[in-house]
Amino acid sequence: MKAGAADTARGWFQYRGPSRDGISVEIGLTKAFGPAGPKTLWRTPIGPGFSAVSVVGDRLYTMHAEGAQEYAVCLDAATGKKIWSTAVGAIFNNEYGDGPRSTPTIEGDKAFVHGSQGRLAALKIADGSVLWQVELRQTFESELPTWAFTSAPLLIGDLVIIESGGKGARAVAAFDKKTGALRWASHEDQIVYSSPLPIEFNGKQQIVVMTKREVIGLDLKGQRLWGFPFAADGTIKPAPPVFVAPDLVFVSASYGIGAKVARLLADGDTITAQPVWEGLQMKNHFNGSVAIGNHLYGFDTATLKCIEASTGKTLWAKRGLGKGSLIVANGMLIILGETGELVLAEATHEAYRELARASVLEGRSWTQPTLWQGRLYLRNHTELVSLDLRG
Amino acid sequence: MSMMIRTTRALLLVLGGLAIAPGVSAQTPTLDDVMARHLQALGGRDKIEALKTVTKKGIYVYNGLEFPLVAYHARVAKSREEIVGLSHWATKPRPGITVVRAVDGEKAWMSGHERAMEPTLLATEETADAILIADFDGPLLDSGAASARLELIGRVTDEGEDLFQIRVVRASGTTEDVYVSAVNHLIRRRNLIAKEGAARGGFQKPQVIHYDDYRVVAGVRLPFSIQVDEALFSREYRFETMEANSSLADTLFVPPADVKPPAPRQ
Repeated sequence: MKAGAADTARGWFQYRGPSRDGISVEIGLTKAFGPAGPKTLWRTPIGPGFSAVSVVGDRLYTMHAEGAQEYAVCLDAATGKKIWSTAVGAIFNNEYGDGPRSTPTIEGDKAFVHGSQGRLAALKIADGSVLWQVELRQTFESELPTWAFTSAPLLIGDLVIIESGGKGARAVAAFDKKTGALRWASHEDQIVYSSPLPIEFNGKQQIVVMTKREVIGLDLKGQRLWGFPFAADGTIKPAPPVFVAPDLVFVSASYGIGAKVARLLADGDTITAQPVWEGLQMKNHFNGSVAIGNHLYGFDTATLKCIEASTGKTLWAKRGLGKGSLIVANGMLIILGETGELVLAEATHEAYRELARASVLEGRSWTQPTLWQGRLYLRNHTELVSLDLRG
Repeated sequence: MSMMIRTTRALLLVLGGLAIAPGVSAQTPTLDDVMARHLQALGGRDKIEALKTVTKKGIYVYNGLEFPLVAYHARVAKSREEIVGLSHWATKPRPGITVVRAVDGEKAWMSGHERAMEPTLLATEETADAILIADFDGPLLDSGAASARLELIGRVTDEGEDLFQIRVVRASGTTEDVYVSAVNHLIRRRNLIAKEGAARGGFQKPQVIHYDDYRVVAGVRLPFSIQVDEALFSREYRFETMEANSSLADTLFVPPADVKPPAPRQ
């Protein structure tokens, strides 16, 4: 039993990395740098957006806004120069930051992108041309969510799965990767700005989805396998679920909601989710926690914490990084503070041990880092930077 | 005065990650011991009493934006913050605008804020909170700002830290819990209930104020990092410099003559 869809050879090809869990298997990274930070490989201006960077081969993919439009963009990973740009819908304006929220997912010759206004599209990665596109609001008669469409496309088999927000039992939808044809829609509930998580449990691939009332597991046909309630009044829960192998599902949200862990239990083909604990010790706001063994590292709103997944016990806390984000690689937490500080710290539950710190971006920096082949990609609303973390 | 709660139970209660050892063991110092060490850790009574004013400069961090900040503090409970460009909820900077929040020990007021551009008094409940926070010597030392009774609740482990939990019960009836490090004997956090004025709904908001990065200023250890957590937001004061005993005019703290009354109930 393990987290699903791991494919480290393909690159950091989707939201939260190869396994969608915030973990990189890269080693040999530097563990020290001075106040000037690691070597900057390049910096390039970028329009507003919270979309993270995906990397495959020598190309980067992300999304941003320019003028009245949102765009998916492809950049040269070595130089940051733009290769192509494709409009993916009208700009979403918000006083905290305009532009797209979702992160592209790359597979084969296609990039799957999801604009803030609800356009799901498959683009040809060679030139950005549109292979197919679906307007979710028209397809599902849904309204623009208050904080826009945010879900990062999940690819499993021949499906593209998205939290679509459709009316009726259509909160989650799966489309044919090649054609964009709707394959199924499932679950009646309001979406909460989260993204689906693939897991494997009881010998079956499943999709974990968090909606307003509950957290559910679906099979690859959209059939409900299990579920458990989580903060039924909470309408904003962007942080994705985290699978803590072999059998725990962790979910968390801010705005005073907190966290909950449930244990999946299998009895033949029947799976149930048994509550383990819930509490206020971890309130992920935008970005998800990362699990290393039985320990979860994440931002309790504006406090970086390590908690024990099976008990909820807080093992350490570190303040001063705001509502940051993090990934894990090479035994380190690679942290981006919300005002642009890059911090390396040991990935240990024993204590917070900082290794290096430097200011690398200016302004609100709520987008999580991307790491591929020793290059770290960070962005905010004005700039995208590539830093050299190779040791 | 030491008011210990004694129990023979050895059970550890885990509440939201807070491991509480009910009952104070024989190895736990008394409140007087904790307070003596706290006083010593701060720098000693003489140094504390010699500190009359502090002017702090740094940044105010809210929702991912940094705003230049100057804060003035004077005995007994005078305080003034000037935050450049701050907007409500810190959505975007407001160039050319400075938010002022001040208290002169009796009256609290603000200006430059979207809900109070002109100097405006705060409501009674908010004023009481502002005075408590402005208390120059903090919640544990009796500076005369707020008469209080202290009670050592126990020794707790929270977020991996070994802490003494001290309850502060004020004559006004308000209480808060103050957590003092068992390692360096400095305040690590305050848990209190902030109150909004009736015009803003009269809500009671649990508030946790965290203190970190203590440095010596004129012989007294002061926190250069303060993080205020509430259910809906978190904001941080990161100070870069602190200057002791500058001459601070009372006009910094006293409401201007044309100050408006608190906003009526909406």
